[in-house]
Order: sequence, then structure tokens, then C-alpha cells
Amino acid sequence: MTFEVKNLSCTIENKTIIEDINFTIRSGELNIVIGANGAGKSTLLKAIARVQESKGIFLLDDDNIASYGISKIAKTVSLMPQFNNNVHLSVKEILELGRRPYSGFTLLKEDYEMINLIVEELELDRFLDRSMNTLSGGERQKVYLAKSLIQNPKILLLDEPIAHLDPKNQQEILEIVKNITIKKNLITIVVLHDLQSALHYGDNLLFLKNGKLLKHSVVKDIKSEDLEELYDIKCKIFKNEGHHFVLMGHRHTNDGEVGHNH
Amino acid sequence: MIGSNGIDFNDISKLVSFDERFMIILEEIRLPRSLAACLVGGALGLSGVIMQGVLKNPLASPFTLGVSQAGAFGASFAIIVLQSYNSAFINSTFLTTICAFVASLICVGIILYFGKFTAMRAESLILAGVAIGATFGAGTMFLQYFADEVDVSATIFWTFGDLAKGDISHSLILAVVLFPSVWFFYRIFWKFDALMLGNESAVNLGISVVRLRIVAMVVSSLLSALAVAFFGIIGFIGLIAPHIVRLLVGHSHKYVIPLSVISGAILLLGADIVARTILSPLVVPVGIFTSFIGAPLFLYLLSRRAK
Repeated sequence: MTFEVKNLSCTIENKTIIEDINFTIRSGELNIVIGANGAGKSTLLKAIARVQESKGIFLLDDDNIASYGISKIAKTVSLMPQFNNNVHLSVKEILELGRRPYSGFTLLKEDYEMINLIVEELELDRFLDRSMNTLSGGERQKVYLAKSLIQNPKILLLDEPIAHLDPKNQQEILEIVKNITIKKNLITIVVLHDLQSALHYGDNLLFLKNGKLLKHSVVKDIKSEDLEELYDIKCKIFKNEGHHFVLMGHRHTNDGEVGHNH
Repeated sequence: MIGSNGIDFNDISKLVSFDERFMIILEEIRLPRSLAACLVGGALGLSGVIMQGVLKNPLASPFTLGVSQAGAFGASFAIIVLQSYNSAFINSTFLTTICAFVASLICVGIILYFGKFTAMRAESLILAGVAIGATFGAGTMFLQYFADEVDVSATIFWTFGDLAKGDISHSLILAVVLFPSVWFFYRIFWKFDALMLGNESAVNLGISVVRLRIVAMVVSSLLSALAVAFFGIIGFIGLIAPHIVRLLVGHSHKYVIPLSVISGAILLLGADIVARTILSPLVVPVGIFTSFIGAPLFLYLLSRRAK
């Protein structure tokens, strides 16, 4: 499968958030969107999921999903938003929500089969009856990821799924996403701020700056200058035995040195 | 079945033997009143849980959104301006009820119209409701200021929520609207659960959030408008009933929606029994009683929310 975004623009309250974005990605690959705060990363995902109104064409193979109704979109595109409310629902109730676009009030046998499959895959069995607000941040993200997968989408969109998680949980979530993308042949787009993870897990990177797509490239072709241009800071990528390491240097402006990053 | 006048549990044998006097009290007074308590309580409970669900605010209810105050204004308008109690042409209760109902719907209309410009943001709708309620309250006082003593006392009497005010036909009308509404909302309980995750998640589950909000607000306001129009202002049941249910069974609307109806019915029935017996033989309007108990409970909820 291929997914092509053509001429995507989005304006919110007369302010252009993203402008004329074009790219094509393939299923089974992990695509990671990087860019500074306010670059339009979340808006890009919301526009594809049709949660945010936008202008543009989204071609899934040759099918323009921009013409789909809201309920068909729910069965095609699954979005895990950046901010998930802390709710007093049980894990089971959250997971069942993923099947509601298909079956509504009465869930069928195949709905439960799908739920059980993902629960097994993400090892959520022991949480099922727990309330969401008693889970740790990492466990909660796993449940929301499971809900997104239970929707059985062709396109999986994850907005900063590892924000505020410890390194072990970050690794676990991204490994699940990577594996399931290959296994289910999904079109996956993930917004990340952690460049180390982006370079380690991603197949392709989409560079978003001021609402425009600066660069779209496979990870192995990314150069230090690309990151410098994206973030306006000194940056160095080291490659060692197939791994990438990113070192961020001091930030310079016309006024001189104003601070430093890691 | 309990009340201030002449029947208690010891008279159950008279019920079985169809004692005529007791049967009249039962059939003509107690049963219709108990039925009204269950239906009004249920309608207010449903109205409260639906408003709280779509506005994602636990403090939303017909009372806090101004629907009740609008109803009181409508009734005052009928009594003071249209002189409904002096009209030779039209049934006074009917005219007062219609005006209360129309005013309640106008209140809902203004809230929804306002919501269109704020993209139905939940917090804006709550604040709009509070402001509109205050405006209707001021309108009522304005009318009362220029009215004579008889009309003023009639208006004040009308605003007392009292289950003796309506008759069986009012209860039946309420039932016709209430039961299909409970079924309708119960079938889409998951949409209210999805809203708890946030608007974006709800839309991504195929829910048209704006449409859901409009339908839910119109139906729940219709229910509370009917209750206010027929029986006067009965505050806090719509606010408290869903909270009690959530404390007992959790937050899933699969349980919260139907059980709020039942808990609303039980609360109002219980409150009415106490209101009828506490100062026996004097019967206190139940609206006064629910506010007495509801207001401290409301403050308790507010303080819990602040923590």
C-alpha cells in the first residue's frame, strides 16, 4: 500500500498552520515526523485523521480518503492524540471503544476476537479490569495504543506516544509500534521529539518547519546539516555499527550564545 | 404510599380489602404523586447525566444551565403579564405551563445558538447557561416589581417545585418523552464514554461531536423543561443523581445513564415522602426540600473538585 498526501494546507482562525505539504509513504515502514514546537506536526496528523479541517488530497493507493464519511474514516485511520484525558473507565471499556465504530452498542464475537488478539500481543491481560487512572504513564500509553490498533486501521497516527515516559517504556512502546507496523503492514506516522529514537526506530523522517515540509528522507541519508537547518542549533550525528547518535551543541543567535542543549 | 394524611403502613390490610376511603386517597392522591415523583426525578436525573456527559462538566444540570430559571420566568410572564389566573378564555394552568415550557426552550435555543459561535466549547456553554439563567432570574424580578401582591404571590407559589401541581396527564406526557429518551441515550452510551477521552478521540471513533451535543442538549432540555413547566422548579436532583451513581458504579455511561434515571426517581420520591411527613400535617413543597439538601451536597462536590 502507498499513502500519498497532496497539496495539504490547514488554516486555523486565519492562521496558516501547515502549507502545501506533499509526500508519499509506503506501508510496513515507520515514518517519523520531527520539528520544533509549533511546526505543525500535530496538525498534520489531525488533518489526515480528519479531526482537523484541511484542504488536500489523501490517496490510500488510489482511493481518496478525504471523501470518506466520518464513520468510514474511523475504520481506516486511527489517531492516538498527544494529550489523553485521565478517565475513570476500565481498560476493558477503553479497548471496547475501539470496536464501537464497527458494531456500535452490541459488540460481536469478531470484535472480542480482535480485542483479545491485541491484548495478547501487548500483554495487557492483567490490566483489563483496572481503572485507567490507577495505571502508570507507560501502561496508559500502551492501552491507548492498543485501542488505536483495535480500531484495525490501515493508517496509524501516533502523536508523541513516548512523551513523559522513562527510557524503558519509550523503548517498549516504539518496539511494539515498529513490529506491528511490519506485521500488519500498516502505514504508520509517528510524531517524536526524541531524535535518538527517531533515528533508531524510524525508516523515514519527515522534517516539518514552520508548517512546511523541509525534507523527506530515509534515515540513513540524514545529515547533521539537515537537523541544524530544522532546529537552528548546532548538531552532529555520529554513526557507529549501524546506530545513530545525536549530539546537540550550543545555540547561537546574532546576540551571541543564549543557552545550550544536550 | 406514605403521607401526612391518614394512611400508614398499618393500614395495608385496608388496601387489601379495598376500603373505599383509603382507595380514594391512594388512587387519587398518593399513586399519581408517587408516579410524578418517579417520572420527574427520572427525567431530571437523565437530563443531568446527559448534560454533564456532553458538556464534560460534572456541574452541568438543568438547574445550573438556567433552564429552570427560564421556566420560572415564563410562568411569571403568564401570571403577571398575560394574567393567566384571571383569564376567562383559557385554562390558567395550561397557559402558565405553556409559557414556562416556551421560555425553557428559548433558554436552550440561546445556549445552543451561542454554542455555534464558540464551536460548542463545553466550558463556554456552561458559562452561557449561568449568564442566561441570571438574566431570566432578573427578568422574573423585574416583572414581580411591577406586579400587584396577588400576582406576585401566585408567581412565587408557582416557582415552588411541588409534585401536587401536575395531574396524571402531565405525568403521562413526561413518560412518553422520558422512556424513549432513556432507550435512545442508553444505546449510544459509548459515545459519552468516548467524549471522556477528548473531542479528537471521539471524532476519530466516528462520532459527530457537534451533532451529538446538539441532540443531547435539545432532548435533555426538553425533559427538564417539561418537568419545570408541569411541576415547578425542583433543583439539584439532576445534578446530584449522576454523581451518586458514579460514586457507586464507576463512570461508564453504560451504567451511569440508566442508573441516574433510577437514582433521580428514588431521590425525588424519598425527598417527597420526607417533605410530606416532616412537618405533618403541613406538606412542604418538595423543591424547597431538594434545594436544602442539594445545595450543601453541591458545595461538597465543588470542594472535592477543587482538591
